[in-house]
Amino acid sequence: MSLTLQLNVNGQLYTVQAAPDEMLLTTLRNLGLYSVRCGCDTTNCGLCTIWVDGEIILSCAYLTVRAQGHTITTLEGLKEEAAFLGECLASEGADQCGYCTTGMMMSVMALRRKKAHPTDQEIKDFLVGNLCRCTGYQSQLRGIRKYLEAMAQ
Amino acid sequence: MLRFTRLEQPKTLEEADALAKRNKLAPLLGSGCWLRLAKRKWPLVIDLSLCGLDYIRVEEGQLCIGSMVTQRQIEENEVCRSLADGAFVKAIHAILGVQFRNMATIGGSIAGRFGFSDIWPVFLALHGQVVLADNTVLSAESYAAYRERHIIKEIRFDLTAPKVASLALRKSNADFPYITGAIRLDNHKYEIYIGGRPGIATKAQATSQIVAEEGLDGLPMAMDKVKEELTFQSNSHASESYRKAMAAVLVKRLVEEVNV
Ligand SMILES: Cc1cc2nc3c(=O)[nH]c(=O)nc-3n(C[C@H](O)[C@H](O)[C@H](O)COP(=O)(O)OP(=O)(O)OC[C@H]3O[C@@H](n4cnc5c(N)ncnc54)[C@H](O)[C@@H]3O)c2cc1C
Ligand code: FES
Ligand code: FES
Repeated sequence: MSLTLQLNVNGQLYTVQAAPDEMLLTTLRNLGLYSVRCGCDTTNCGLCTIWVDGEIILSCAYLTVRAQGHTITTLEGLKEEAAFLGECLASEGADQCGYCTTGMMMSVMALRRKKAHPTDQEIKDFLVGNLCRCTGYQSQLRGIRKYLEAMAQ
Repeated sequence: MLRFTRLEQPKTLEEADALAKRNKLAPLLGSGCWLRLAKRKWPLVIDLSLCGLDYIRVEEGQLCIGSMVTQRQIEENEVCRSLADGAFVKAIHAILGVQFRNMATIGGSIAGRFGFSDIWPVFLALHGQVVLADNTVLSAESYAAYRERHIIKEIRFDLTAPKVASLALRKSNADFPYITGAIRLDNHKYEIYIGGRPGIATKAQATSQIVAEEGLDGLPMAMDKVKEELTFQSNSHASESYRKAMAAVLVKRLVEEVNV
C-alpha cells in the first residue's frame, strides 16, 4: 500500500506516492534529484547526505514518511554555492573518482552555516561520516579551507 | 534495508504503549538505523517519532533525556555536555559521523543493549536510570539484564555525578569498538565496567575492589584480574586473547584518567 505524502524539497512542494518503508534516498532520486546517491546503504559512507531542516542526515536510512512537515535540501537546491565549493575542491585536486564529492559537499556547506571559522579539527570531526577512498583527505581539507575563507569575506 | 508492510504512528506515549502491548512482535522504531540491518520484512512497525519523546530537561536535580532524542542533540546540549565533565558526551562523540548521530536515538541505543556500545559503560558508571512507558524506574544495571519488552520513555542521570571516565578502543575511526570501558570514582570507591568482550558492559567487581584497596600500586594486579574475572570471546573485530590483553590496558588507562 502506498501513501500520498507532501514534501518540501529545495523550496518546492511535491506530492509523492511512497511505500511506508521507502527511504528518502529513493524518493528523491525518483524526483530526478540525482546528486543524492547510494554508496553503502548501511549508514557508513555518507554519500547519501542531505539536509533535513538544515541538519545533515543519511537519506538511505531516513523514512520518507518522516520527512513530511520538514524542509529537505539536496545539492540541487544549493547550486551556486555548490558550484563554487566544487571549484575550490577541484583546484586542490580534491576529487579523483568524484564519487564521494556530493555527500561531502552537503556536509561542508552545513558546517559553514553552523561555524564560519572552524578549526581543522572541527572540520575533521564534522566530516568523519563522509568516507573518501581516493584522496587521503588532505586535498579535500585544503579545498574546504579555500572555500570557507572565500565565503567568510 | 528496513522493510515492513504497515507503519503505525501513534501521537502519544500511551497510544504507543497500548499498540506495543497488542503487537508484541512489532518493532519499536527509534531511528531504525540498527533495525534496518536485519534481513527481514515486518508486517508492522511502531514509529515513536510523534510521541513527544524528544525532550531534554532537568527535573528535581536529575537530567531527563527522552528516548527519541538523537545522539547529536545530546552532544550539543549544554547540560549533557557538562555531565561528569563531558564523559557521557565523549562516549557518544566516537560513534560514526555527525549525519548518523543526527538520526540514532538514545532510546534505541539503550534498548539495543549492544555489546559494542560506547554508551553503555558510561551509562552504567554514571548509575543512569531507565524510565519505562508506565513510569517504572530501573537502574542501568537492572535494565541491562531486563528481558521484557517495554517502551523506554526516558533515561535519567543525577546531575551530581562523581568522577567518571570512559574509553573505547577501535581499529579505525568510526568502526565498532572491540573493547569499551568506563570507571567511576566516588569517595575512594572505584567501579570499573568493561564492554565489547563482545558482551554488554558489566562491572569488573574484583578488579574494582583491588584498585579501591591498593590504589595505583594495585594496578598490575588489577590488570591481571580483569582478564580472569570477565568472559572474553573472539569475533570478526578481535580475538579473545587480544581482547583480554587490551582490557588490561583499558583498566590502566581508565584508572589513570579518572585520577587526573
Ligand atoms: C552501522 C552502524 C554502526 C554503529 N556503530 C556504533 C559504535 O561504534 N558505537 C556505538 O555505541 N553504537 C554504534 N551503533 C549503534 C547506534 O549508536 C545506535 O545505538 C543504534 O543505531 C540504535 O539506535 P536507533 O535509534 O537506530 O534504534 P533502532 O534501530 O530504531 O532500534 C534499535 C532497537 O531498540 C528498540 N527501540 C528503539 N527505541 C526504543 C524505545 N524508545 N524503547 C524501547 N525499545 C526501543 C527497537 O525496537 C530495536 O530493537 C552503530 C549502528 C550502526 C547501524
Ligand atoms: S549510502 Fe547512506 S551512508 Fe552510505
Ligand atoms: S574522490 Fe573517489 S571516493 Fe572520494
